[in-house]
Amino acid sequence: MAALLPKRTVRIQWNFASVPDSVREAIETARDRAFQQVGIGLTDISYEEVQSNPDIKIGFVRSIPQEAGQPFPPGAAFMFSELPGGARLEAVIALERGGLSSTPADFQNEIQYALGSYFGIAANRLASTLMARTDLSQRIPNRSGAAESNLINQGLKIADQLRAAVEKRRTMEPAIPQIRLSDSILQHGEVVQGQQVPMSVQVTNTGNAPLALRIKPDCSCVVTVPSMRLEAGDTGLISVVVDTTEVSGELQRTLVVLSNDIDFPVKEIPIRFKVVPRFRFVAPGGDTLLMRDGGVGADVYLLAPADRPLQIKDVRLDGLPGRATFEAWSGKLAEPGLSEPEKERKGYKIKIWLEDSLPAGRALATLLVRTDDPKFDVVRYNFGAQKGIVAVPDSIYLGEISRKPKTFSFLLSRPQSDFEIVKIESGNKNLAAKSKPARGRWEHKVTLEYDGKAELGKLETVLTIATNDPKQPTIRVPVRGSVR
Amino acid sequence: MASAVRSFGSAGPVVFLVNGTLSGGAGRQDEIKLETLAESFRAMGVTAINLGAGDARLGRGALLSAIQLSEDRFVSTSLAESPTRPAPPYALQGPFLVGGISAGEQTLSSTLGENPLAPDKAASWLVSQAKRRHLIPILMLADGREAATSLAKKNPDLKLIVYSASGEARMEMVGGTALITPGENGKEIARVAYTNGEFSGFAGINLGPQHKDDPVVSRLYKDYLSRVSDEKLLDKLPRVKTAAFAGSAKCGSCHRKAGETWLASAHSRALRTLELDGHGRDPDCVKCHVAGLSSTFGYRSRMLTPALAGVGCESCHGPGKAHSLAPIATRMAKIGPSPCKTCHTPNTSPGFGFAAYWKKIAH
Repeated sequence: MAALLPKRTVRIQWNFASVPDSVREAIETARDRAFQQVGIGLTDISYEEVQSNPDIKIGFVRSIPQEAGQPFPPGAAFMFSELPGGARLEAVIALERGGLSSTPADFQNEIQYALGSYFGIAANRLASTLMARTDLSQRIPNRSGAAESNLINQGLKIADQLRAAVEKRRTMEPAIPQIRLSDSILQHGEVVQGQQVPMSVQVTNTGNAPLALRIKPDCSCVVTVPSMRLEAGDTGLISVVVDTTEVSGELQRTLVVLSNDIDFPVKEIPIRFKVVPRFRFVAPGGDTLLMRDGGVGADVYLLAPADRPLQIKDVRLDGLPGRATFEAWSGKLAEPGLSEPEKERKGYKIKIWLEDSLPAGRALATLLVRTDDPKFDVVRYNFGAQKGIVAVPDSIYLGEISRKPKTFSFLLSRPQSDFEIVKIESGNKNLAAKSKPARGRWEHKVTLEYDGKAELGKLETVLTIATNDPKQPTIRVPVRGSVR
Repeated sequence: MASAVRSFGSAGPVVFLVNGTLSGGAGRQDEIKLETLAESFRAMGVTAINLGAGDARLGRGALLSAIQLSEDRFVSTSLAESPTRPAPPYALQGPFLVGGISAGEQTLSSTLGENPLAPDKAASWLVSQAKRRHLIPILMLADGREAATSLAKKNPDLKLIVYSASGEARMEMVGGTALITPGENGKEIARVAYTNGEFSGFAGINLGPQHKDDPVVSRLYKDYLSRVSDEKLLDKLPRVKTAAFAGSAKCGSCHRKAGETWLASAHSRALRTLELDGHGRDPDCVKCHVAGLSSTFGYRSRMLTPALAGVGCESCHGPGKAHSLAPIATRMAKIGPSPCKTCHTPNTSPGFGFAAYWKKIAH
C-alpha cells in the first residue's frame, strides 16, 4: 500500500501515439505550464518522463465515447488503480471535445487535474481553480492557488510519514477528521427586506484528528467566519448573517464549507427564505401618464408590510414640471405585480400632477420619496409621460438584415384619442411603408416592407408620417439597421 | 453564453430556452436592451423565450419590436387566445412542446391589452395540448420555486419546469417532474440531457471569461453600445437638484493624504476602465463610476465635468462644494460602509467584503 502513496518525484509515462504532429508541440507546452502551475509554492516536486513503471500514465485519444444519460462526451477520463506494479493513475485526454478541437488550455487543465488527483486533491466547482474541470472547451487555463499548494504539501508530508512508518513496521492510527453538520439546509421564516438575518449551523468533528474548515458564501450578502479549526470531538458554531438590503423575493444562496475530511471535502449548505419587499409602488393607472390639455394627474400608492410600516417625510417630483403631494391612505387595492387580488391595505396615496408643458413624445420622470427608514431613506418611482401621438418604440431598429425581403412593424399610438394617418413617406427607396388601425383608431400598426436590395452596410433613414392632428401634422420616426 | 451553447450542438439536438426578465426596467435603454437580447437569442438559435410581466412593462410596441427581432421566438401561455395576441402560447421543437407562464399575469395582460390565463389553468391547458399532439410538455415559469413546486404537484404530466431563482443553477425532482433553475442574471446555463424518457445529467455551466466571445453576439453588443451612445441616453437621465459638487482635486487640496490614497486607487480610474471597454456613455454602468450622475450638478461628460470623472470623494461623502468654500462652517458628515454597498451590490460585486476592500482605500 505504501507504493500507492504520492511521491515528490513523479514518474510520468506519456503516450503520444494518437497525437498528430500539428498538436504535439501545443500539448508539450501545455504540459510544461501544468508542471509550473502544480509546482507553485512547492520547491521539492519534480517530474520525470519514463517509459515504464510510471506513477501516472497520460495518453491521448481522438475522442471519448459519450455515456448514456450525459449530454455530451467527456473531455478526459481518469482511472485510479491499486494494482501493484502498475501506474497509480491513468489519464486519457481527448483531442476533440464537444465537436471542437481541444485547446492548449484544455490540455493544460486536464494534465493539472491529473497531477492534482495524483497528489490527492478533490475536484471542486470553484471556476478557474486547479481542480475545477469541465468537459467543455476552455480558452483560459485554470490556476493553482495557495490552498491547493498547501493541500499538496500536507498530503506529501503525510505520505512521507506513512512510508517511514511502514518501513519501521510501526502501527499508525490514521488521522481521520470527520465533519458533521447539524443542518443540511438553513431556512428562516419570511423577513422584510433590509433586515439582518442571523442563522447558524453546528459543526462537530467526530473524527480523531483536527478538522480544518474554510467557509465561503456565494454572495456578498452573506457574512460569516472565513475559517475554523476543531480538535477531535469538538463542536463549533458557524454563524452567518444574511443582509437582505439588496434582495427581495425567494432568496436562495449557498454556504460552501471546505474541509480536510476526505469523504466530504466540500459541503454545500443551501440558505433559503423569503424576503418581502420593504416597499412597493402600485400605480393602478399604469406606469405611463397620458398628457391632456391643461395637465394630467395620477395616483400612486406606496405600500409597506403591515408589521413594518414606512412613514413618508416628503415627496418630490423631478424630471418634469409638476408637483406631488401625499396623504395617509387605507382601502382596497389589487397588487398585480405580486399577483394579489383586491384586498384591504394601508399605506400612502401620492398624488402626482404633471403640467402640460411637454412637447409631443415620451419623457421620464422620477418621484422621490423620503422615508423614516434609514436603510431606505429615499425611494424612487420612475414613470413616463406621453403627449400626443408617439411611435413605439420611438426609434425603429431593424437589426441585422440580409439581402432578402423582410417585413417589420411598429405602432403609432395616442391612447384614448383617435387620429388618422394621412400619408407615410420613407426616406429610403428600399423601404416602403403602409399602415392600418390596430386596436381602434387610437393605435395604428405601421408596416415597413424591405425589398432586400439595400447596399451592404448601415441603413439609416427617417419615416415622415403625416396625420390629421393639427397639433402634430408631421411625425418623424428614425429607422436604423445594418445590411450584411 | 453563445459559444458555450454552440459547443453543445455536437452531442445532439439542442433545445435552448430563455426564462426570466430580460430588460428589468421601463426606460429607453431597457427597450434597446430587449431588442439586442432578442436579436442575440435569434442568432444563438434559441427555441423559445418566455414573455414575462417584467418585460411587458415596456409596452406593446417595444415587445412587438423584440418579437420581430427574435423571429417570433417569444411564447406566452399566460395570455388567453385572441387575434391580437402578440406571442403564440407555445413553441414546438422535436418531441417537445414548450410553453411559458409568468407570475403577475394580470400585469402582463393589462399592459398588452389582452386577457390573462391564471397559472394553474395555463399549465393544465399546456399539458392537454401536448397530450393531444403526443408531445412532451415543458414549462418555462417566470416565478419562483414555490410556484414551480405547486404546478409540478398539480400537473404531474409536466416533464420539466424551468423556474426563476437567485443563486446558482440547480435541479430537483418533484414526483416525475424535473425542476430546474439556471440561477440569476444569466451567470450560468442549466444543462440537462433527455434520454429514455427522463431528464438527467444536470450541470450548471458557469459563464465566465473562460468561454470564447461569440463573434456574432459581440457584434450585436457593440451595436447596442453604439445605439445607447448615439441616442445620448446618458444626457437624458432624470436628475434631481442637490447641493453642488467640488471635485476630488479640490478635496485633495486640503485633505492631502486622503487625496493621494484616492489617486493611487482604482476608484480614481473607474471611468477610464469603462471607457476602455466601450461603456463610457452607458448609463447602466456610468452611474457607479462617476460622481453625482443623478444630480443636476453632477457628472455630465469628461469635457464638461472632468473633476467628477471616476469614483470620487463626493461619490461617497456627498456634494462638497459648500464645505470647500467654508470648511469649518459646513462640516461633512461621517459615513460608514453603507455608501459602498450602493455600488458594490451582490450582483455587481459578488465578492465584496467591506473589511478587505476598505484596506485598499483606507483614509
